[in-house]
Amino acid sequence: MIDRFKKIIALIKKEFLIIWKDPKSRGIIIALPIVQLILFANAITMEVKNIKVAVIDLDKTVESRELIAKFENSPQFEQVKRIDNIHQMQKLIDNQEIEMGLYIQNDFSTLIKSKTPTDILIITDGRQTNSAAIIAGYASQIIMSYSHEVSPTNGAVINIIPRHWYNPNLEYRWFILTIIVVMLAVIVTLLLTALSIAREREMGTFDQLIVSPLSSIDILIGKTIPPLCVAMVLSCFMSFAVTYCFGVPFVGSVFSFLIAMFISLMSMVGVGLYISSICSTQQQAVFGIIAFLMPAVLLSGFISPIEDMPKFLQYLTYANPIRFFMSLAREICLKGISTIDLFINSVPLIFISVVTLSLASWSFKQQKS
Amino acid sequence: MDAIVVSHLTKMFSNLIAIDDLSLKIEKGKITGLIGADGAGKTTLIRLIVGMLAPKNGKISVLNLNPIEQKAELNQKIGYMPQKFGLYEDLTVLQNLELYADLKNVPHDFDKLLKFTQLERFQGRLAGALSGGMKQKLGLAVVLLSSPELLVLDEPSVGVDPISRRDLMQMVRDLISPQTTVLWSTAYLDEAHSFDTAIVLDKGKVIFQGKPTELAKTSQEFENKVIDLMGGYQKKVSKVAENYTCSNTNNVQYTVIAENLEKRYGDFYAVRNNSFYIKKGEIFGLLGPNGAGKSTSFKMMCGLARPTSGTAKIMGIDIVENPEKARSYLGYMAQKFSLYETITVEQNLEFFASVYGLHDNKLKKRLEEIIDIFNFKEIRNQDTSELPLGFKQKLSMACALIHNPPILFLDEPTSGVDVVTRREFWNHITSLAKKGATVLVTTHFMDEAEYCDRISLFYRGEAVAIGTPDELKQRVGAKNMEEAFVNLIEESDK
Repeated sequence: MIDRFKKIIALIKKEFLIIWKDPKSRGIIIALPIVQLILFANAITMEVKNIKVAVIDLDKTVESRELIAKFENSPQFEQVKRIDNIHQMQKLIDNQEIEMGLYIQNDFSTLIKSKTPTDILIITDGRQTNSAAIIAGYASQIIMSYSHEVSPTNGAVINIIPRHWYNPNLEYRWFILTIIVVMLAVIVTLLLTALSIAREREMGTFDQLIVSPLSSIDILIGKTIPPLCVAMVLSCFMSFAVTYCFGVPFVGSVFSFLIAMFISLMSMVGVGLYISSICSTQQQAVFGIIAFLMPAVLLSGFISPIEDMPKFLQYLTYANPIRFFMSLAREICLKGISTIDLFINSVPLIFISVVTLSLASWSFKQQKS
Repeated sequence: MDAIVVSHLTKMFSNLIAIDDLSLKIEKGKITGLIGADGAGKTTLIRLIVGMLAPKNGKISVLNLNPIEQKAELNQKIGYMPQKFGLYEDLTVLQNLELYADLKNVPHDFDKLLKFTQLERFQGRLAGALSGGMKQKLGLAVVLLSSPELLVLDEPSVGVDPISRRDLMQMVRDLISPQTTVLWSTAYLDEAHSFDTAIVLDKGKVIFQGKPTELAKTSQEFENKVIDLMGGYQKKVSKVAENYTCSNTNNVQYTVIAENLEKRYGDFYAVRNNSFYIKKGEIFGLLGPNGAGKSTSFKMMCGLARPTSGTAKIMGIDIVENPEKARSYLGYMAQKFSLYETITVEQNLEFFASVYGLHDNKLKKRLEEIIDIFNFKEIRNQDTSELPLGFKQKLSMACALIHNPPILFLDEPTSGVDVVTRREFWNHITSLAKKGATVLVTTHFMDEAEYCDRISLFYRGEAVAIGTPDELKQRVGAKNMEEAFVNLIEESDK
C-alpha cells in the first residue's frame, strides 16, 4: 500500500515537473490567465458608453434645446451633433459615425405648451441589436424624465425605481469577472489535462507507463491531482485578484468557495482526461476541447439565460458541468450560498466527475487491447 | 567534375562545434556513402549542403551553386530525403505522389515508380498505414519524381528490414541516370562498402575518403577498419552486466512463454499461431520484414496489446490476467525513444526507478550506481531532448535496467545507432544474458542476429522458421544471416 502510494507520488512529481518545464504549459498557467483577466475586465463590456448622437431639431425652441441639453449632460452620451436633414443622418448611421439619431418635429414645443401628446423619433443602428436596445432604453429614460418636468401634473404617474440586488449599480464588470474566473479555470484545466495524455501518446511515453507495474487507477490519480492543484491555486489567485484589484465583492464564505471550486474543477479534470484518453495526438485533443467547450459555454447560461432556452435544451444543461460551476461561482461571490444550494449544485458535478473519470480509466485499459 | 565542393567549412551550435574546418569534394555521377558515429556531423553536413543551414565559415558549392544564395535554383536540381520524410500520413500513396508531382511541377506518370517500389497494389492505401519499409520506398519515389541531378539521402535505411533495404538500393541504382550524383548517409557499413566512394566523418572532420574496396575487401573487414578509424572498439567487461543481479525468485522452466498468440483485425490476421518458449538466460531474436507482425507480437508480449486469442506468460504469470505483477518483472525498451524529453536524465531515471518500486535510500543508491555504470555523470542534469541519439538509447536501456528485471524486452534497441555503440550494446546484452537475464529482442541488423541464441523469423503474421542462427543458415544453405533471411522469406513465398 505504502509502496503504491509512493509510486503515485513519483507520478505526480513527474507531472508537475513536466507542466513546469514545458514553456507551452507554463504559458497556459501563467500568461493566459493574466492577459485574459486584464483584457476581459477592460475590453468586454455590455454597458454602452460614449454614445454619439446626431439631432435634427426642426423646432429650434427653448423646449427642444432643453431636451437636447439633457442628452448632452448625460454620462452615457458623449457627443451631440446637430444636423439638418434625414439624408445626413442616414449617412452618419451607415458609416457608424453615430449610434443614435434624434428627430424633433417642428410642432414639438407648440404641442407641449398646448398639453397635447407629441412624438419624438429615436433612430438606432439595428445591426448592433444589443447596443441598439440599450441605447434606446437610455434615451427613453431621458425623454421620460423630461416629460415629467414639463408636465408634472399629467395625472397619476407611476415612477419606477429599480433596485438591482447583489449588484446595485448593475456593474457589468461584476458579472463578467466572476464568469471569467470560471472560464479561465475551465480552459486551463481542460488544456492541461487534455494535452497531457495525448502528448504522452505522441511521444510514446504512455506505452512506457502502461508497461510499468502502475495500474490504470494509479495512472489516473497521477494524472488527476497535478492539474487539479494547479487549477485550484490559479482559481484562488484569480478570485483574489478580481476582488482586490477590480473591486468585485466577495460575499460568500471562503470555505464554501473552496469546496465549490474543488468539486467543479474535479469535473473539468474528468472531462479533460476523458477527451485526452480518446485522442492519440495533441491536435485531436485541442479539437476535442473546442468541440466540448463551444456548446458547453452556450448552454451554461452565460450567453443567454437557461430559463429562456427551449425545454429540451434546458434538460441538456443538467449534463453541463460549466453551468453548475458558473452558478456556484456567481452565487458565492455576489450573494453567498446556503449549504443546501451548495449541495444541490454539487451533486451533478460529482456525478459528472465520476462518470468521466471512470470512462477515462476504462479507455486506458482499452488501449491495451 | 565535382558535384559538391566544400572548403574549410565550420558550423557551430551555440558552443558546440558540429563541423570543424571540413574540406571535401564529391565526384559527379558517383554514389558516395557518408559514415560516422552519432554526433559526428553527418546530418549537419547534409543540411548545409542542401542549404537548410547556413555555415559559419567556409564555402560550399553544390552543382556550381551556392546553397544559401541560390537555394531556389538548387532546389530544382536536388532530391533530398531527410531522416523523417514528410509523407502526408492521411493521404493515400497515390495522392502523396500526385501532391508532390504537382509541387515539383512534373507530369503524373507514376507507373515506373510504382512498379519499382512494388507499391502498385497499395496505391489506395493511406501512407500512414504502410509498413516502415514501404514508407521509405514511397519517400524515395517522391524524391525521385523530378529526376534530380543530385540525390541526398539521410539514413534512408534506418528501421528498414533487409529485403526492403535491398529494394531501396536497387531503386536508386536503377532509377538514376549515369550523371546523377548520390550522397547517401548510412549506419549500415555493408551498404557503404558497395558504394563508389566512402567518406568517414568524426567530430566534424573527414577522417577517410576513398574507395571502400581499397580500405577492405569484404564488408566485414570494412566494418572493422571503419571502427579502427573512429578510434577503435575494445571489448571491455560490461559494467552494466557486472552490476546486474537477476532478481529471479520464481523457479519456472521457461521465463517467457507465448502460446498460440493471435491478433486479428476483422478478417486480417496480424499475428497467428505464434508460440515460443524462452529459457532463463537465453537471447531470443524476433526477425522479419517490416509489417510482418513482429511489433504486434512484441506489444502483446508486454501487455500493450490484448491478444485475440492465446496467452503470453512472464515468469509464469499471465500478462492478461495479472498485468501489473507480470510487468514488474519486465524491463522494456521501446522502438522509438520514449522517455520524457523535457526533463533531465536524472529525473527520468528517478521517475522510472520509483515507478518500479525503488524509494528513499534504495532509490538514491541505485541512481548513483546506474549513473556511474552508464557514465552519465556529465549529462545527468541535461535535458533529455538535447542528447545525441546514441545517448538517448543508452538512457532508455538504463531506465529498462534500473530495477534489475529478470526479463528484458528490447524493440530495435540499436536502430539508428552507430556501429561502435551497437557493439557496446550487444556486449551488454550478451553479458546480461550470461548472468541470467532473459532477452527478447527485435532487430533489422542481420549481423546482430548472430548474437541471438535462437531466432524466430516472422513473415506475414506467422513464424516461418525457429532455430539457432546456424540451423537457419544450414536450412537454406546460406553463408550469412542476411542471405538466410532473404532465402527463407523467398522460400515461404512460394
